[in-house]
Amino acid sequence: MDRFVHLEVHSAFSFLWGTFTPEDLVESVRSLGQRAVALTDYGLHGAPRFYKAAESAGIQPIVGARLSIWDGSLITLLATSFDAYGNLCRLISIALGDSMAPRVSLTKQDLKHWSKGLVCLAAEREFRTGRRRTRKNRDAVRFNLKELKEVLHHPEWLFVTLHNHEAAEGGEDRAVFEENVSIAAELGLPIVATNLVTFLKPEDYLIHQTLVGIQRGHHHRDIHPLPNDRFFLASGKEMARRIPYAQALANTAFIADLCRSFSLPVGRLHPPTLQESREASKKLAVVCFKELGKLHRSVPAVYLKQLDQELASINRINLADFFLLVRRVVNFARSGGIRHSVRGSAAGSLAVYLLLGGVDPMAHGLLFERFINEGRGDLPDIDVDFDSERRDEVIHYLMDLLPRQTTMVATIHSFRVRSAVRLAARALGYPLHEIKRLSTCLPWSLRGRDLLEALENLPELQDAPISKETRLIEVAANLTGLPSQASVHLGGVLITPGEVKDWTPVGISPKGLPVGQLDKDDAEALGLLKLDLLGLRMHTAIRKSLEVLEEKGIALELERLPLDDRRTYALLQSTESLGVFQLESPGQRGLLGHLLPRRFSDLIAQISLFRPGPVEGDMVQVYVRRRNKEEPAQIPHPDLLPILEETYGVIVFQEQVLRIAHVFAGLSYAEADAFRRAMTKDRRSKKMVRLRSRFVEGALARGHSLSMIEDVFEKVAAFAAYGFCKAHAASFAHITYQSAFLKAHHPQAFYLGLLNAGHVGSYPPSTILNEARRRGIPIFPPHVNASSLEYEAEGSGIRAPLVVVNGVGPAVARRILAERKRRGAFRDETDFLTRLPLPDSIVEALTLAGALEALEDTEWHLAPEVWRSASQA
Amino acid sequence: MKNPDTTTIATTTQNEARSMTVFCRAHPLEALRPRLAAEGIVTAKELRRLPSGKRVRITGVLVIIHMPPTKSGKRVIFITLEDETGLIDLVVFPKAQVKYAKVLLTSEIQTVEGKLYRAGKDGRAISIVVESVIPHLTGSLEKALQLGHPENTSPDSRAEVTKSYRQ
Repeated sequence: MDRFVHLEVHSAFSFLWGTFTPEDLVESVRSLGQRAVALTDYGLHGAPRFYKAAESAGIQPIVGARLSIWDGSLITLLATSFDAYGNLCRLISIALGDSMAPRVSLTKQDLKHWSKGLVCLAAEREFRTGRRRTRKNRDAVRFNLKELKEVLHHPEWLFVTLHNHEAAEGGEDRAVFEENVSIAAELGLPIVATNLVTFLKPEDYLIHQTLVGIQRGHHHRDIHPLPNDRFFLASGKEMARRIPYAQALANTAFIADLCRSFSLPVGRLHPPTLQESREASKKLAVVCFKELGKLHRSVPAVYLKQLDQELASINRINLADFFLLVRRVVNFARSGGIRHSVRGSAAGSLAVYLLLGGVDPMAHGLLFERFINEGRGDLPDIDVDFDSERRDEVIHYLMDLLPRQTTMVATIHSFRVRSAVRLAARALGYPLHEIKRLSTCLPWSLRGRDLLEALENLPELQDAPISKETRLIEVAANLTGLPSQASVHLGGVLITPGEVKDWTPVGISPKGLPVGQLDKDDAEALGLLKLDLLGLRMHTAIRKSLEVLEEKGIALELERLPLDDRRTYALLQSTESLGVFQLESPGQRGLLGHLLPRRFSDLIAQISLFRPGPVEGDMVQVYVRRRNKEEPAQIPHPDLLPILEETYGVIVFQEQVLRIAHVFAGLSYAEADAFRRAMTKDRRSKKMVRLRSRFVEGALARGHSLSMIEDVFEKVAAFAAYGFCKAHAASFAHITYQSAFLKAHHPQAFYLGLLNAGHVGSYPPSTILNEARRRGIPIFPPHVNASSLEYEAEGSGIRAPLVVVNGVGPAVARRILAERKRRGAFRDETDFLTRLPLPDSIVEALTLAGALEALEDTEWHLAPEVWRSASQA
Repeated sequence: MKNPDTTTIATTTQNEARSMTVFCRAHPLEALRPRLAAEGIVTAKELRRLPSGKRVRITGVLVIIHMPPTKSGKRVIFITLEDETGLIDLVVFPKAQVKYAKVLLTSEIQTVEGKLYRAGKDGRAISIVVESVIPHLTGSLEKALQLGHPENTSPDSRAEVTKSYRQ
C-alpha cells in the first residue's frame, strides 16, 4: 500500500487545463495502490462523479477546490464533512460572483465566515500566469500565511505546500520549497507535499499544452501551460524522491484522515420542503377534486377512485407541495397566455392532468404507476414544455418564488471529434484554411476514440488529408470525450431542501439566471428534485399561427378541438407532413404512407414506433403488417387481450410491459417497473434473474402453465427494452394533431408560424417556402416598402422579411422600418439612399433581392396595413 | 399588389442566390429543368406516377442527411433532396457509400441514379435506393445555377460551366 495521498489534483473539470476525467483518476490511483485521492478543481462540477467513482472503487474521495484570495495567491480547500462541503459551496459561489467561472478573490471576511470544517493548503506557486517567484513574493508568502492563520476557522489545519516539479531554471522549484520549509518552521505551521496533478502520465503533457493552446488561441486568454511534464500522478516513492521531508509526505495521509468523515448523500431522496407543506396535502386534494368537478357534471366513480389512489401516492413521498408549486408555475403561464404542455410519464397522471392540463389519461389508457410507484428510487420528474420565446418568463417567475432554494441545472459540454480536431489543430498552429480542409467530412456526432475507427472505416474519409496528420489525430482522439466547458441546462431547475448553496456553488449565467454546478445526473444521484421547464419551438409556431388567424378574425381554440377531424388525417395520410410536429422526418413521412393514421391513438402509436429501438428491433414492420391485416395479430394469452389489442399484439408502450407483469404474473406495479427497467439494462444481472423468478412464480400462482409463462416472458423480454412511454407519446401526439390541423385548414398561417418561430423541426426556411409555393401560396420577396422583421401575411401570400437579405441583420432592418414609419414609404432609389446611407454591399444585396424594385408605385405610399388589408379583401 | 418580377427565372434565382438566404420567386432547379429533362432526369412529382422497381435519375437540392442506428450496425445514409415539385428521399446503403459517400455528403445539389421503391397504400411511401451519382450534375448550387442560365445555353459556354461545376 502506497501511503502517499495526492491532495491537489486538477481534472478536466478545470476546463481546458486538466487532461483526465474523475473516473480515470480513480482508476489510476487504484493502480498505484494509493488509498485516497482529492479532486481540487476550480469548482465542484466533477465532485459527484468523482465521489461515486471513488466510492465504488474503494478509494477514499476527498473533495476540495482551488480558489484565489485577497492578495491574488491561490489556496486549496478540502472538506472534512458534508457541512464543510456546504461552506466550500458558499466560498466558490462568492468567487463566481456574477459569472460561471471564478473571477472574484475571496476576502478575509469570507474565509472567516465560511471556513469551518475546511483544511487549507497554502503558499502555492501559480503557474498559469507564468510569473516566477521573487524575493518580494517570499515576503508576501510569509505575510499571507500569517493572515490566513488569523482568519481561518481551523488555523491548525493550515498547511504549507511543498512542490518539486524539477523545473529547469536553476532548480527554482527546489529553492522555493526549501524556503517554504523555513517559513513554515518560523510560523509553526505544518508542511505537506503535493504535486498539482494535471495529467495522469508524463506523456499526456502534450494534451495539457493543447488545451492551454485552445485557451490562448481560441478564447484569447493570457494563460501559460505548465513548464514541464512532471505534474503527473506520481507514486509515493517518486514523491519521496522529489520532496525528501518525511513529515510533509506523512501529512498527506494525516489530512486524508481528517477528511474521512466527509460523504455526499448519494442514493437518498431529498425532496424540497416548501412554504406550503403543512396544508399541502389537503390543498392539493381540494384543487384536484374541484377541477374534476369542472370537467364532469357527474364524475365517474373510476375517476374518483383513481384520483384517491394518486393523491395517496403523492402524499406518501411528500410531494404535494411540489405539485402545487408546479400548478402555480403553470397558472402563471396560463394567465400570461404562454402555451405549454406536460411531457414524459407525468402526463399519465390524472392529478397532473387536473392540475396542469393536457390529454385525459383515463380516456387514453395511460398509467399513473409509470410515473410514480413505490419501487422508484428517484424523485419523479414533472417536465413541462413552454413556448420557447416565453419560457424565460416562467423560469424567472419560479426563481423569484423560491430565490434561496432554486438554481438552474448545469450542463457539461464535452469535446466531440470534429470540434476536437478543429480546436486542437488551431492550438497546434495549423492555418484556418488547412483546418477547414482537414475537418471536411468528419462527422459531427462521433465521440471518444471513434475517430481512429472512423478514419479506418468510413469511405468518405479514405485518403482524407487528416489521415496523414498522426500527431493531430492522436491529440484529438485524447481530447474527445473530455469536458470542455460548463453551461446552463436549457430548462432544468434544481429545487433543494433548504438553501441551494448548501448543495452546490451558484454562479450567474450570461442571461442573468443563477446556475449551479450539478448536472442532471448529479442531481439525480443526490436525490434532488429537478423541474424541467423546457422550451418547445412548436408551441411558439402554433402561437404565431393563431396570431395570424386572429388578425384575420378567426378565433381558434386548439385545446378544445375534437380529435377526429377528417381533413387533418387526410393530410397526414398524404404523407405531406413537412412541418408537422414529430411526423416530418423522412422516416416518419414514409411510415405515414404505411400506417395511414385515422384516429388519435394511431398518432400515439406512430410517435412511439419511430424510435431507434423499435426500428432496430423490427417492431415497426411487424406492427405495419398486422395493422394492414397482412398478418394476424398474435396475442399470447387471452388475459393480455385488453392490454395488447390496441397495438395488434406488439408491445409498443412501456405501460403495456407494466400491465402484463401486473395482470399476468401478479407483480406489483413497483416490481413491474423494476422489471421494465432491468429489461432495458443488463438482462443477465442478479436483479433480472430475481425478477424473472418472481415473474414465473407469480404467473404459476395464477394458474398459468410453465410453457405459457416462458412464452409470454420471452415475448415481453423481446420487446420490453424498446417500449416507449405512452403518456409522453400521447402528450406529443396532441401537439402533432394541433399542428396538422393548422396545416390542413389554415396553411398560410401554419407556414407563417413555422417561419417566424426560429428553427422548428428539420427543414430550413427555404424548404418551407418552396412547399408553400407548391401549395399555391405566393411568396413575395423582401421589399423595403413592404417587409418587416418577420414573415407576414400579404393577401393569400407570404412576404419575406428584410432580414433574409445578406448583410441585413435585425439592426439594419429596424433602421429601414423606423425610417419608413417616420417619413413614409420610399419613393425611389435615390430617396431610399438619401434617407438611409447604407454600405454598398447591403445596397447591392437589396437590389439583387428585388427589395428596391418599383419604388415609384403609388400603392407603397399607403400604410402597409392598408394595402395589406385591401389585398386581402 | 403589384410584385416586380420582370427578369427571367434563371436570372432571378441567380440574383436571389447571391443576395438572400432563401429563394422567394422560384425554386433554384426550375431554371435548370429543361437541361435536366433532356438528360432523362425526372421530378419528385413524376416519381408518384412511376412503378416501383424502375431505375430513375433525379436531381435535388440537399435538405437533410440522417444516419440513424440500424439493427445490423451497418451505416445507412438517408438523404432528403428537394426539387421544384417536392421532396425526394434517398437511401444509400454501404455498397454505394464506398464510392459516393464523400460526394453525397459534400454536395449542395445532387443528381443520382437508383431504383425507385414505392410502398404503403398507392405506393405513397416513396424512396430511391442510390446506385450511382451523376457527377457532372452534382456539386455546388452556385455552379448549378450558372448551368441553368439562358446565357449558358451555347454548347461552348455550357461545356465551360460544366467543367467548373465538376471541380
